[in-house]
Amino acid sequence: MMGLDDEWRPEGQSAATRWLHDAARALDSVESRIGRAASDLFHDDAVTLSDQHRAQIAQLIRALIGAIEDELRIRLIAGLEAAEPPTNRGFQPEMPLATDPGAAHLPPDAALIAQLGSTATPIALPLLEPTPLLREPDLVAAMLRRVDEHRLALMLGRDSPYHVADLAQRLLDIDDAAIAEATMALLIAESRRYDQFGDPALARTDLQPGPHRKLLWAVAAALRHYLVAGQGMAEARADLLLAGAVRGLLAEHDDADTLEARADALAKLLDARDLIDDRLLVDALEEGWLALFTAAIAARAGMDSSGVWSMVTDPGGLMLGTVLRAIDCAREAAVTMLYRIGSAEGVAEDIIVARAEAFDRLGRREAAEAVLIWRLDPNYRRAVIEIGEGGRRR
Amino acid sequence: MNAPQGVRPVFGRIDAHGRLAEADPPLLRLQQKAGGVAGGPLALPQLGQIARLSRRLGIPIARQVIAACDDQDVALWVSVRPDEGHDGVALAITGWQENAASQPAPANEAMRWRDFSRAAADWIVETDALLRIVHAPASLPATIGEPVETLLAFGRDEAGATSIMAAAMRADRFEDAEARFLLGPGVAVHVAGAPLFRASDGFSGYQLLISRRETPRLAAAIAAGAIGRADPPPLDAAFGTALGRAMREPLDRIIAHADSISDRGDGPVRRAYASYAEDIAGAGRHLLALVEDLVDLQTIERPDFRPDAEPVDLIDAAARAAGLLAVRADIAQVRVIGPTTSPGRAGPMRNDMSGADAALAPQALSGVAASTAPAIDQDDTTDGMAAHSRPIPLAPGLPIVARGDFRRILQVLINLLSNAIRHSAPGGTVRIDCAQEGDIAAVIVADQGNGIAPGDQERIFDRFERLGLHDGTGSGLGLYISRRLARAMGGELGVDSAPGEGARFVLTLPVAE
Repeated sequence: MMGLDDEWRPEGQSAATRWLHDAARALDSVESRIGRAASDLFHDDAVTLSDQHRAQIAQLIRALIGAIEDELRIRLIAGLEAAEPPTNRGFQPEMPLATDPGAAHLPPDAALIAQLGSTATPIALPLLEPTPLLREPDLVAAMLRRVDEHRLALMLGRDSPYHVADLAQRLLDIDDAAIAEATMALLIAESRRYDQFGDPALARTDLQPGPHRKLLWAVAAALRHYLVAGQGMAEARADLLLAGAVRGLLAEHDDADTLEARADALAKLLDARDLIDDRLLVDALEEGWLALFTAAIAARAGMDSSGVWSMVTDPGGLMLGTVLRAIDCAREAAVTMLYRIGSAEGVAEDIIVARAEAFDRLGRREAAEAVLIWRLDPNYRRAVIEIGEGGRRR
Repeated sequence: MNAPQGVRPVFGRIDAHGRLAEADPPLLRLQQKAGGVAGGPLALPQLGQIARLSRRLGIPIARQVIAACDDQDVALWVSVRPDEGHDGVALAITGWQENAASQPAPANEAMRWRDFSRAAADWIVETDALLRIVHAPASLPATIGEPVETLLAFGRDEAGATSIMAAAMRADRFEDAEARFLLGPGVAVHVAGAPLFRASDGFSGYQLLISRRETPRLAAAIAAGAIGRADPPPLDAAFGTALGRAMREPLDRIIAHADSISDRGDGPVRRAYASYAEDIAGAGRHLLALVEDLVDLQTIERPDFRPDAEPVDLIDAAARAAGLLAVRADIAQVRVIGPTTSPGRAGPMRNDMSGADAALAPQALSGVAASTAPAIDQDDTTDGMAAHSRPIPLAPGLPIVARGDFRRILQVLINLLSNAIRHSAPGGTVRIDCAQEGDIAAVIVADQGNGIAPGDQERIFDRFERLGLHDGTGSGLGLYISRRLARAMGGELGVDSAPGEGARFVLTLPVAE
């Protein structure tokens, strides 16, 4: 432990303390960025996110909420058309609405169906924007990651000679059916990362189960307001219709079909066949294929990919070098990756050189020690860092 | 032109000192076009940057760089690799594409010209394609629908066509057309015309930007005092307008040049762009000075503004001002002499000097200052030239003590001195003299610049007046503020000058009791 890394370690701190500190800092910077994004997003005078970030995240929200609303409307229409007509007798939980024998048989609510099918004005977004529902950290994290990933991929692509999927072709050429299938699934998931104008997009299906569920219910609640307050529908009927619509969408959601999950699946297959070498990492990064790059490092390091992502985007830039050292990445490949990320982020030359020098000074054992905590459950990691850093972080 | 023939990469080697040690002919030609020589320092900065980075990081790097070459941009796909054993880097250029250098879009250029012209215009009139007025100044609504000649009398060429008619035939823009604006007795104006286009049917008329032109007769009337320049009104709407104009031009320049630079992406910066950057810096500094002056102006124009009235040694204050501006004077290669004073502690003058040296000599207080200063003893002769070349050391214990606010006096002196330095040619001299006569104390700042015509000597104390300064420096408020301050302290600030003979600014203050 002593000797090699004395320069690398600040005076008076044990290596473990230093790594914990670095981990805390990296995690803290990611989390505080998410927190800031969540609070800044809804204020015009925010300065902590760039205007482009704000505009892109706002666009992601608009598109995402709009898409969910559209899907719920379609299901509502289907529900209205299929259901028996409404009653005016209030909600009786033990009695299904459609079987109320005392109600006269009225025609279906054709006007409401027409409105739900044709209204171009968004209903949910204006109702949700003033509430904290869209500031859910997991949701904001997903949007921030998508926007950051888009920006980084563009910058990486700018410095690359060719914009063809060389790596994907190589993976397909391995002649392994499982890898080929996982590669194609990842490419399909990647195609959802952009909208038709080449701007970043976040499809509902790309959301993790937690934020996905929360968002669906939030949009449903906004539609409930519209149905009850705007259309005079009985509360109970609106609740039942919307619950049915949301449950249908939840049931169709495939947790394995998110971009991150597809990338993790491919990375696991590659790792099992010992195919995640340094070249694959460099190529994935240089091609701007960040989902695979992150998942591949995570698989090789035995970590979760969200942890690796926070290292990739760590503004201090030291954690990526640490994890690359920990997975025994060769110097040329590692420094090339540090250079590529730094260059894409617009980091000054001296800082990139300092990161390379820090990598050179770092021993593999210390690096492995430093990333050990990142290999454990993220919740445990967060709790350890919270407790370890005491009250200083809050 | 430069592009290598064939597909073989172009090779080169850059040594540890950043010199192009080896180069295939196409690379060498590029180096030479960029002002470099074989074996000399690499003259292609972007190439040099990735070579240096590759050497420092110890890794191969491949990326596209864009080099400027004459009027072309050359896009190069470059691979650099640390050169084992030589401590330099080997480079291979595998892609080589020459493109015309990107220029600002013509539409932007037209918009920019219009914005600049509009910033300076006194009136704006719009016409339709038949040159009938569609948008008139607010005070002349009745002219709408009338031919443009109702408002403007243009000169005619031999064929009897006006400049606007000639331009309208080709839908060209025109500048500096002289005309009379038919308002009251008629105002001599310059007219600039920006053609307006509609996407559907092309040329749709002109936007005419009309600016007053100062005719010789007007200038003479002002000089003769026939048209007075009363004390300016207090801060009001007119001030806001003048302020808007004063700030808009530098802002427009910042925006226009920033546009030009941003159009370039991260490509090379040509010499022209470097000078744009200088313009930006200059405009920024100007704005900063303007803002500082405006804040100050707000303070001193408040009715309750009262500067301190304490004894202030003018020689000490002048010495401090000179000290504070020593670096600026040095950069401008201007020599500052003084503060000096005569043995008799007043600054009389030989009257047989002429030209710039006369302006430098400590003359009798004259002009505006003379109205508040008593006559100076003409017998107390000091050789101005001698004083010029040999500053007279101050007699210890003989300060010239005025009553005023030390900070404000220093502010006025710094303003006078920096003006004098700014208006002096390199190698010129600025002289500071202190004098006292009776109950009046004075500091005289004299330069050898171009001087100020008699007709302009009062104008320079107006707000936003930047006479003869076309370099974007100066807010046009310094002398106005200085005079306000001098008057607020019971004194006066005046100027005595003739064209080509330098200027002498005289600050007078009451002597401390």
